[in-house]
Amino acid sequence: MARGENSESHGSGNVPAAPAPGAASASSGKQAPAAARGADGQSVVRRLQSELMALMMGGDPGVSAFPEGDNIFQWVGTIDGSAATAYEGTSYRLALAFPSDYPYKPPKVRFETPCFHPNVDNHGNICLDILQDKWSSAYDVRTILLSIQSLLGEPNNDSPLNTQAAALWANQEEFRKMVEKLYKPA
Amino acid sequence: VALKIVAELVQECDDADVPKAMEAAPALCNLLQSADNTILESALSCLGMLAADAHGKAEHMDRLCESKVIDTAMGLLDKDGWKTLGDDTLPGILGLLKHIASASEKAVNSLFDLGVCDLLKQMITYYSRSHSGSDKLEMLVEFIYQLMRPLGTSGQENATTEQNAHVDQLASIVTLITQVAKCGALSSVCYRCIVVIGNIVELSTPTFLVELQKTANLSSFLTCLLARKNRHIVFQTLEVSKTLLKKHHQFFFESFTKEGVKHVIETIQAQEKNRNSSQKLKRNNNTQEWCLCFELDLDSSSTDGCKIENNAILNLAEEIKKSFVVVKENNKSPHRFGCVLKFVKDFFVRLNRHALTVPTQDLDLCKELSDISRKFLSDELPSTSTFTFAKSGSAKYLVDYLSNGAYLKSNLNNCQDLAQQLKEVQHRLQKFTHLALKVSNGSSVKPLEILVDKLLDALHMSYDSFPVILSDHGQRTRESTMIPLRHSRTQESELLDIKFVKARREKELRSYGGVLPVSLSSKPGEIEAVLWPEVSKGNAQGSSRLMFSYKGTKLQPSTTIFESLVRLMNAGQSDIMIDSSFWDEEYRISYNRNKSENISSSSSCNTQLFAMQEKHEQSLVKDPFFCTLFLGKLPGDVDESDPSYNLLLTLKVLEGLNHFSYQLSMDQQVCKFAEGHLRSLDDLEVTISPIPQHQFMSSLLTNKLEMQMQEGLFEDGLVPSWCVYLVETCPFLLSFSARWKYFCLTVHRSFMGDEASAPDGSSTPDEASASPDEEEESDAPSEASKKMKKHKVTRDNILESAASMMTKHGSSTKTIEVVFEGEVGTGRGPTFEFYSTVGHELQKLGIGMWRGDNARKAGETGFVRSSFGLFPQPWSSVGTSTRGIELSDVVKKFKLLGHVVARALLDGRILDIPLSKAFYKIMLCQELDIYDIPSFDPELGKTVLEFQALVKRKKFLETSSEKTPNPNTDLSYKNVRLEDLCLDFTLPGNPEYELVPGGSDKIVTLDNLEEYVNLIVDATLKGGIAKQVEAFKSAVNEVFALQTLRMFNEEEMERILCGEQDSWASSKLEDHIEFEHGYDASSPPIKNFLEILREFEREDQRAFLQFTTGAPQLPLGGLASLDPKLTVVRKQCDGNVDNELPSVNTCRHFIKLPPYSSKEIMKTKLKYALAEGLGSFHLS
Repeated sequence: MARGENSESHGSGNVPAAPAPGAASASSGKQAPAAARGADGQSVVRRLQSELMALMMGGDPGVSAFPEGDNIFQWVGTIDGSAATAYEGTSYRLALAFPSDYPYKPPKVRFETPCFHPNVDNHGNICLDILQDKWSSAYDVRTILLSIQSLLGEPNNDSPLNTQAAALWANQEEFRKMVEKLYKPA
Repeated sequence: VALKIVAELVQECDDADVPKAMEAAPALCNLLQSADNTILESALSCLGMLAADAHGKAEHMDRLCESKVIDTAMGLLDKDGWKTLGDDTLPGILGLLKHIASASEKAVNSLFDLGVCDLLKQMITYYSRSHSGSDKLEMLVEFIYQLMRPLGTSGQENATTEQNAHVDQLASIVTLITQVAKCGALSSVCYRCIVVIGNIVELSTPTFLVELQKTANLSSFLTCLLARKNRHIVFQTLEVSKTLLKKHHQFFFESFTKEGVKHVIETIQAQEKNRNSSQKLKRNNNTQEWCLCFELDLDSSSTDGCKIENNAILNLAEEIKKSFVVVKENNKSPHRFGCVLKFVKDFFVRLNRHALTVPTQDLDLCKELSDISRKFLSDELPSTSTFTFAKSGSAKYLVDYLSNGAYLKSNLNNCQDLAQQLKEVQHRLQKFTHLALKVSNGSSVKPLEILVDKLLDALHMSYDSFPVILSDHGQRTRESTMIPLRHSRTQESELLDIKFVKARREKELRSYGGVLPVSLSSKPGEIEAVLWPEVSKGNAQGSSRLMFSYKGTKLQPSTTIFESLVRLMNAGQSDIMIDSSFWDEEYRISYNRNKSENISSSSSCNTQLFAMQEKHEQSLVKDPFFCTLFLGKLPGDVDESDPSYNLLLTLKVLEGLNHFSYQLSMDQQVCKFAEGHLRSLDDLEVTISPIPQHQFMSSLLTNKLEMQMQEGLFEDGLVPSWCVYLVETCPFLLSFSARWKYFCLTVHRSFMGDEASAPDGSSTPDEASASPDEEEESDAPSEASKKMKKHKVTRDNILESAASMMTKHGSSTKTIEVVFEGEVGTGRGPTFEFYSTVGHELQKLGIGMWRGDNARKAGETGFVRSSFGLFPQPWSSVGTSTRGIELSDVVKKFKLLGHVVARALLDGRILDIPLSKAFYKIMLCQELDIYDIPSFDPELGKTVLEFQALVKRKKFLETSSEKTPNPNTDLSYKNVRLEDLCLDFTLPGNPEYELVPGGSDKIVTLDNLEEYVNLIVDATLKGGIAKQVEAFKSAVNEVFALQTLRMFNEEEMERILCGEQDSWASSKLEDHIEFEHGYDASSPPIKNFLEILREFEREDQRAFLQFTTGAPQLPLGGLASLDPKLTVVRKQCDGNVDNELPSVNTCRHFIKLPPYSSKEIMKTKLKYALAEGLGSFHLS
């Protein structure tokens, strides 16, 4: 039921914000947050929709992203390893979760496809400054994905999450082997 | 028991019996090694009496020495042993050693051999840092004096090399002693120090003294002391100066000139001459000062008056002066001193000249100015002596410059361009901040630090402006180290009988015959209110209608009558001791009509300024510091002619500047960006950091306040006006613990309402007449119930219980204790747990109090996580409920929070609630502005600041449109058009909060960006949280006046409310935990236990503390200040030890620990107990 409300509100895009959560919260306390998320962030919804349009029209090579299912706050992104890097020929799936105060706060981004990289840990968490303290409201999904793509080829080996990968980086041949060994496309 | 008999015997025996008594000494010495404190103490007192009886007789003393008294005594003190000794034991040992040392040369030698110097150094450092051990310091200095005596009497002719070595050792203490003397709260301490220094100087070699000048800056120290009024100190200091000159003429002449000793001596000479001539006219002007001469000479039998003749000082000064002249003739080489003084003066004169012009309009001038400022601050200042600094009037000029000339102008006359002035002042502040906080030329200190040091040093010269007033009865009733909790009034407060008589020429008023009892805290204004209806003929309105005077001197309206009297009677003294006859006398104070109209001179200007401040969005403009600077005067009634005034003003300004350095320099950056000097928004960074707050603390003033607070009548209103004044306007000069003590001692007056004669403005509602309720005092009608209120709460519904408890007892003057319904535990433990549980409940998700609550996921429970501290979540004024939460409930919770916070402060409880710095600022009635947002929400804050910069740039471009467009000033947000951000006029993260009606359909563009930014700032910091903040503040005000908290800053509030943050970090766990009943520090289970504690993570620590003390955080001061101490005792078990669980007694902070067979088992059991034991007091 909550789902239905969600799709409706982000589909039409112009539903006034106030009444929906009020009604939902009156019915059940537990459902209130879920319902609110749909109507949540008029501006966030609008922003994400416009980003989606820009991504589809822009046609950047090797990066793409779509909302996952009906929830516009959950996206799935894909980046392809750039040519002439150890990641050439690979394609990685990422999960992006947008907070309700996006773009003031950065989305949470995680690798879903296992990725052997100095700045990515076993759980797919990424250590990238623009996703933490260097975040700015001027960034968007496209800049995030492009940054991650370039991070693949140019890791920051000074503060590695995966020390093994950082140590191996100097030996690109061995590194490539590890990348392939651990690469499990969905 | 036997000891007591011995003690009595010793007491009775007179001189003849001494040899006999001496035979007991070795036995007593053995007892000193006993571990039992009581035995130790009585043995000590016996020995002490022995020594006192035998003093002056070297042969007895030598015998005492032989019996190893010294060895054992030193053994007790050694290796930090003195820290653990009881409050009575330490003076005992010191006294004993002192007696022995004073008589026996041999003893002194062996003391030196045992390294007494190092020990003394440690002790002096320790006590001078704690600001409250002045009595101990006094003892130490006296001890050193006694050590010196044999050295002095043995004379130079037979000075052995050994003795020289001793002198060298002692001399290394001189640096410390100079500090003690400078900061000593009482003249007596200071006098002893200078005598000791005199002795050391007398015995030292010239080369050594040169070295000493370099390390301890003796000359500067002498200047400082010579500026005091106390004639004994001045005399001794002059003596020392004379000796120094004798020892190394050339060198000390130069340093004396540089540091101003010469100047001061000349002044003294002139003063003394004046004094002598005026004394012939007025015989009775001979002020009596209590004589310090005999304090040190224990055996002096002479009873005639002070050694210092009236003319002694003059003679001495002249003598020294003569020797100066001699040097001058021999020595013609120009010294640097003149140059430096000239340079400094020149710099400030120039600064001052610019103060009147507007440098922004003249860029060359501006640059030149900043160049010489830089040179001055970084190159010259460190080598400038305090004296030069003070003499050149630097402080005055500096303030004048910063205030844009407002200071030296008596009045603000051009009110019209107030806005222009405001801008200019801000500009200058920014410039100066930039210069003063920048580290340059590889030096590690910032210019501001040096500047503050010099100012404080100069402030210490005006020692006499802050007299400590002590009464003789009820002397120092308070233990110096104790932080007092609330005071319960037992004795009647002291009253003065004052007879009010009409002034002789007064015709408009009737006479009043009676005598009025006046309390210590009464000010003339309060008396007037009583007196006016009796004496007035007409009915004139307004305040200050009467003027009071005592013996022809007008009483200041801001000073209490009591203080005025005392100060007038003891004029010219630096510390005042009230003797008992003072209280019995009756005083005549005359009154007459106050004719001088009380004109608020610059009132029109003031109101204009206030209106301006109101509108201004920057918080620093609204801060009292800015007012001070802008009006060029300190708030309140102060004597502006006092030498300390300039210094206080300057320090106040510098402190404000330091405090607001982030705001100032961020604002500067924003402006730079606006004007195109900064290209990108990513460059909006602040690179300077403020200097630590404690740099501004004056140890002299802190010591003085501490001393004053030890006075038993302090709570009754024996609070000299300088204390009140300093605490209110310049709290940063006083140490945190001193202010905290001050708060504890004075806060009760803000809610005593009906009893005290002072109506305080703070509201004390219905409580005062509260009838005793049923649940309290039923079980304990004892003494305790007079100070305590017991209240029963239920665990399940703790917030509601808490709220009802607070409405019932919130404003009670008694300490509140809590009992949980259906549990047996009482006392501190449950009460602490109550406060921390309430604290936790108020952080739960889904109650809508805090930012971050909104981000919770469906059905998520737990606590609001905020790594930057909690800050109220904005609530729209339109909607009263969102997501099932009613605004009225939120407001109620804030009210409860206010009550709980206030009660916790008052009763010394700890709240486990991580409030943000910004919220503490609200609590302290400070204004918040856009620059505060990053402190609790960095992401939002950053973006909003960037938007703000963009707005400023746009404005700048619009006003200077005729110029050619600067390519650096594009108006995109990081190359993105603002519209593309798709922001609408709702609060970020809370789309239901529309910033304007219909805001969710209004897109943010460059044109309405300013409005958007202002609305967000307002919603976040003001409008959106106004109701919550109001509820909080009024709740605190019901308990005590919120205003009184203003003496603290944000960090200190956090320390008070939440206890120490990383008390565990100090690895000295075993120092603060006691082991008893079968355990000691070396038992294997204890070793395991300590290891486990050290391995604990922060959460475990909190759980452990919660388990053992009832609160997850330690009180102020960490484990060390836990009272009673955390104690581990052995749990008696029959059967298998490893099946047992540890248990606690939270009131006594006992943990009963079974002696588990291994560390692993202990850890598991402990963790189990921690997890299970929380939330109930059934385990005991």
